Amino acid sequence: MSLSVCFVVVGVQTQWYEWMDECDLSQVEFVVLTVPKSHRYFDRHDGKAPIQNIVPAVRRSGTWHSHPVSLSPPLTLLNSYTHSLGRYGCIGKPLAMQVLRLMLARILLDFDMQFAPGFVPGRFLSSVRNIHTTLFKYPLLVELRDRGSPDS
Amino acid sequence: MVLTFAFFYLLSDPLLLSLLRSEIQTAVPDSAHIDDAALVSLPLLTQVLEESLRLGTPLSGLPRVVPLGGSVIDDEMIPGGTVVSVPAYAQEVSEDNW
Repeated sequence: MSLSVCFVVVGVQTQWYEWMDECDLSQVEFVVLTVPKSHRYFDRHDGKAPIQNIVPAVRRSGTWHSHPVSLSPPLTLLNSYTHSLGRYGCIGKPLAMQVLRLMLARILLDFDMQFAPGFVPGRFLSSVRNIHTTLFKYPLLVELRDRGSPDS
Repeated sequence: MVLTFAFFYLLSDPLLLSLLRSEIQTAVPDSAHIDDAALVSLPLLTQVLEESLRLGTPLSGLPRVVPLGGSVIDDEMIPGGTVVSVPAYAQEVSEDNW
């Protein structure tokens, strides 16, 4: 049995189905950094426009896009796609979500926060390289102040 | 990654940050005694995290294997045994979806 990896680059999909037929077990993957920047999917090739539109869109609608009630079923499914759904869905997501709830709630209850002096929000988003990189070229800098202690 | 995006967008929107803090404070007055069940029932907290997870997904997606005999995906015949996947980031920010 052979295991082949086929990277399908958007715009260079020539004859890839024919090529796959020669493999016993093929792996098909899209190049993550290529697709979001493709003119087939975005007007801007840097792929940043959709992200930058999120906050204004949230403000207009008064809710987040992933509102579990207001979203139509297809959009709810899309939001859950990453971790899949049903019996084969990510078994760790509920636990991870609860840990995130605890962390975010604890931080918001105990601290006031703001962007650190000198931090430029626009530079942060433009420095996000890809979804696998947790080290940002221009890291998020936040200033925390203990809500129970005005001097700290 | 998810919390990084959550903090970034919350700090970019003071009104949203205020609403979220109020929701949490109402349900959990004392940060030293946080009730897990109370947090689960908070809609805005869940929405903020789901939205942050969408924009800051720390994985590319979960691959699946096409059953023997193949399967038609988006009008294309995919051979059996093929591992297929969709780039999470692309579908999560695609203007076709959001």
